[in-house]
This record gives sequence, structure tokens and C-alpha cells, in this order.
Amino acid sequence: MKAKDTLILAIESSCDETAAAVVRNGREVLSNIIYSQIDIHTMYGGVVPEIASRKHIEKIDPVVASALSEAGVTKEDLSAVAVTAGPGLVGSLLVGVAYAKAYAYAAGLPIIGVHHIEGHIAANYIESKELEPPFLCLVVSGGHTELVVVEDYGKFRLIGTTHDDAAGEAFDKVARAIGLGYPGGPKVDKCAKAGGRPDAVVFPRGHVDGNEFDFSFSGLKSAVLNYLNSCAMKQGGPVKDLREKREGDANFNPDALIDPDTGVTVADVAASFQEAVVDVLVTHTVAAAKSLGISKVAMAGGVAANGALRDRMKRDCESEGISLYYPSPLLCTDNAAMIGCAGYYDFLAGKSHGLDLNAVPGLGLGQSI
Amino acid sequence: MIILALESSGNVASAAVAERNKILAEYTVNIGKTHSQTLLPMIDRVLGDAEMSVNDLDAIAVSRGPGSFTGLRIGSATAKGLAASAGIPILEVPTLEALAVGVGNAGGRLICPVIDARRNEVYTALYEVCGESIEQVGEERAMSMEDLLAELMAGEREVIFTGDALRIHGEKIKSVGQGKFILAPLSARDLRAGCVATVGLSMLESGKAIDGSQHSPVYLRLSSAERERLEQGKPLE
Repeated sequence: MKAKDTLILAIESSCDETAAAVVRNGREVLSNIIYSQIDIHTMYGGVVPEIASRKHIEKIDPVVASALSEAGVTKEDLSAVAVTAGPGLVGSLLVGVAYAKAYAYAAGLPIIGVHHIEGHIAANYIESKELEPPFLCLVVSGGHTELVVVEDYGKFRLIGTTHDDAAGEAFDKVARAIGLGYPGGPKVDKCAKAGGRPDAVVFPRGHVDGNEFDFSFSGLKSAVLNYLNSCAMKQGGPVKDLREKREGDANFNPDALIDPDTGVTVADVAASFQEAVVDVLVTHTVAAAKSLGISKVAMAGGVAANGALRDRMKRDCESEGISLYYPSPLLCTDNAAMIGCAGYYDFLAGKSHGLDLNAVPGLGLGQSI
Repeated sequence: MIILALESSGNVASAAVAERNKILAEYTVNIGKTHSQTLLPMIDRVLGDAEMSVNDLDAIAVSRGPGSFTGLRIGSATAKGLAASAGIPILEVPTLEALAVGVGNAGGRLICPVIDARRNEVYTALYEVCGESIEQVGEERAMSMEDLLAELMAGEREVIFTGDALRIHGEKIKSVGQGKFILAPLSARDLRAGCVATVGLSMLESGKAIDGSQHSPVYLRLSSAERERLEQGKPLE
């Protein structure tokens, strides 16, 4: 390592991934280790916080050790330790925060608490070396749907947010209702691709009065559930039976009929629902960029890995002359490299935290830790 | 042999630095602040008062449970982070045993630590003083206070109770016991890191130190989601 290199060990444990990474000079990822607990939580149909916390404690040592050894560095080479302080599940966050603080303390290194969403946004810097603020970022994940103006490194302005469900949450709920199970985002995406027609059923596009850049997905979710119910009623059975029959079925058939009268299939419902979500996300983002005169748009968060969202955002941004950035799927989901990247810019700005750094489960964007 | 001992399994946050035959520094608070905020500054303080750094330590002793799930994990994650960074092992100190050690001379009685486990239960085990050491009698368990008292009433031995659950159950224990059960003094009822260090030092001497990556808290209970799954007859794996 060159003497002037800044090496950051980053730890992320805000939900159900135990992750650690070593990042050089902010944008070069030397290692990025992710232990995913998804298989365990899938059995329960969603993340169980207590199980997630227990897994984090079991996995954090080997994950951090792998991150250091894969990067070929020791603690003596490090400049700082960065850790996700919030938002997220409190029990999960606490494992990472307590471990990172203790590690940094014993190594005589500064500790930097990082905002999880600022980390997701920073994931764009890793693969797009030319990207610099200002730009507009659409943050879409299981817990977030936000339009953020990134004015500078560490400086954010929220211009739109969801009034009810996050986009990823709507995916999870609809996936469950049509029998796809957890996690909803990738499963709906895959099912829609299996011959689903995005225009088979027209679901409502949620708008919020008063702020044109805000989102609402609960109406859409209800419309899908009502549609499924009405189809089930026509066939004389409650929708619950249809769902339970399919849930966890390895031979899941996307061509299974939801409505025999119109020929609408499970894949059609998935594609039509996805189309409604994507339409709102892309329309709002492009409108915000145009209205603010911003020529660069980025996407971040787990839902930013959705194929339909990427395709449509690309098409609409291209036709408006907007440059679009998004991380590869691995860097869209929770990872520690993005925390190391965000932590690097905090480090450059001289920001660090005390030994009393705490987990902040409800941390708002731009709120100081 | 110098160790740092940590206790955060309940409402108390406590840290101590100890060497063979001496507790050098100990700090304990029970003020309702989160352990996440108090524990590491406290560690810095006891090490500073003992004029030491993490690099002077031979091992980290951590109160390994049972107790509050979140509290245990803050202690464990802190111990693991220190141990991994300093390259030293961990000593998994049974929380109930450390509480029993705090009672000292039990006058021939069995020692019964009781930790509030919520849901109308306590975490408990029985200990017997054997010369200079203490031996666990039977298993660590989560059970109702009523069942525990009934069991102990049916036995021959007099019992001294300790632990934070005395704040809830102390009066009941005395009235059920009719003189057969007594309560430990207030100073022994909340676990201090000095007691964790006492057990930790003897574990270190008998070669029971382990690599930090091997350590996880002992909860004695499944998560509620896992319990419900078992009740429905579904497997956990």
C-alpha cells in the first residue's frame, strides 16, 4: 500500500446481510464480502429481526476476517472503520455498530457512522468513476422510496418520498398475494419476464396531492389485491386458497390463469403491477430532473436492480438527454463497499464519531448521527 | 494474566480490568442508558484508570448469557471486535455462575440466581459452594417462578436467591419459603464485571479461552418466530 492511500474497513448489518469490505481511496473496492441470510428468512416469508440479529453475531467475525484477507491488508494498513449506523433494524444495526466501534478502538482508528441510504447512493461512485455531485438519485428499496438531490458529497436534499409503502414493500406484498413468496422484487421481475403482458390489467398510478414528486403505493397494492379477489370470487373460491397452493411450489407456473374469462395469467398480473410501479418511479424521476434542471440521474437500492425499471429509466432518460447511472445488481443490494465509499467522503471531510456512537433505526436522510 | 471483563446482559452495564488476585478497576452503572452508548466509553475508562491499553490484555471475558437478547449481543459484539482487533481470545462466562459467585459464602445453602426473562419466567440454575470453587447443579433453564419455588420447596436444602428478578419476586420467595429461602444482599443482586472477571480468570487458567469467532451468546430461548414454527410442527432448517 502507498503511504498516501486511504483504506477503509466498512461493516454493514442493517437488515439481513452481514457484510464487510475494504475500500481504497473511496472508489476502489479491494474486497466486498456478503453473507446473505435470505434462505432462512424466506422460510418465514420475510425478515425476522431476532433471527437476523443472531445470525449477524455468528457471522461478523468470519465476514470481517475474509474482507481483510481478501484485500490483503491488516489493521495496521487501515485509515478508519466505517459502519452503518442507521436506518435499519435496531438489533441488526447494534451488532455492526458495537463490533466496528470495538475494532476501531482497539486498533486506534477513527470510527465513522454512515447513513445506510447515503451508502446506497455512494454505490454509484464505485463503478462510475466519472460521476460527481450534483445529481438526482432515485433511492428504491424494501424500506425506501426517495428522490434525493445529491448537492455535494455528504450533502443531500430530499425532494420526494413515499406517503405509505416503499416500492420494495409493494413488490413483497404483491408477490406474496400471487404466490411468488419472498423476496418479492426479484421474483416479480422474473415472473413478469416469463411472458407477462404489462398491459394485461391496467392498475392505478398513485399520485400525491400537494407534492408532484412524492409517491404512494398502497392504492396500487390494494387494487392488485382487489383484482385477485374479484377473479377468485368469479371462480367461487377465496384468493387465499390459490395463493397457498402456489406458495413455495418449485414447479411454479407463470402461465397459471388468474382469470379464465379474460386469459389473464399470474405472469400478466406480475408484469402489469410492475409496469404501474415502474411508470410512477420513472415519470416522477424524469419530471424532477427536468424541473430542477439536473442532467444526471442515478438509481440506488435493491429495487434499482429490477430489469424493467432499468430498461424504462434508460429509455426515458435517453430521450430527455439525461445521463443515467446505476450500480451493478450486487452493489444495489445491501453491501459494505458502498458504506466504505460513503465513509471515505465523510473521512475526507474530517467527520468521525465518538465511542458512544449508537445505532439509529429511524435515521432520516441528511440527519446527523 | 490481565483480562477485561464485560457485563451487559441485563439493565447493568459494567466493565472491569483484573489480573490474578486483583480487580484493578471496575465501573458499573444501572441508569437506563443503552449499553451501546455506555459500554465502550466505560471500557476506555477502566483501562485508562488501570493505566493500560487493549494491547496489554491477555483475554476478554464476556457475560455470555442468558439475559436480554439485545444486551447480550452488544456485549458479545464489543468483545468480538476488541478480540479480533487485538488478536486475543474470549472467555465465555456463564452469567448465572458469575451472579452466584457474587453471593460469596452461602453458609451451606444452595445458591439460586434468578434473572428476569419476561413472559412470567426467569432464567435460573443452582450452584453449590465447594471449598474455594463453585459448582453448577443441574441445567440452566428458563421457567416460571412458581415451578422453580415448588421444586425447591420439595427439596431438602435451604436456598439463597440472587439476581435482578428479586426486584419482582423477592417478597413472594420469602413468603413461600417460610424461612427456608433467603435473599442475597442488594450489592450481590445485580451482576458486576468484577464477578465476570473472577470466573473469567479461573477459566483462563484452566485453558478455556476460545477464538472470538467461536463465540455466540447463550440465549436459552428460541426467537418467537422459531417457537411458533415449531408449534406448527414445521422444521427450523
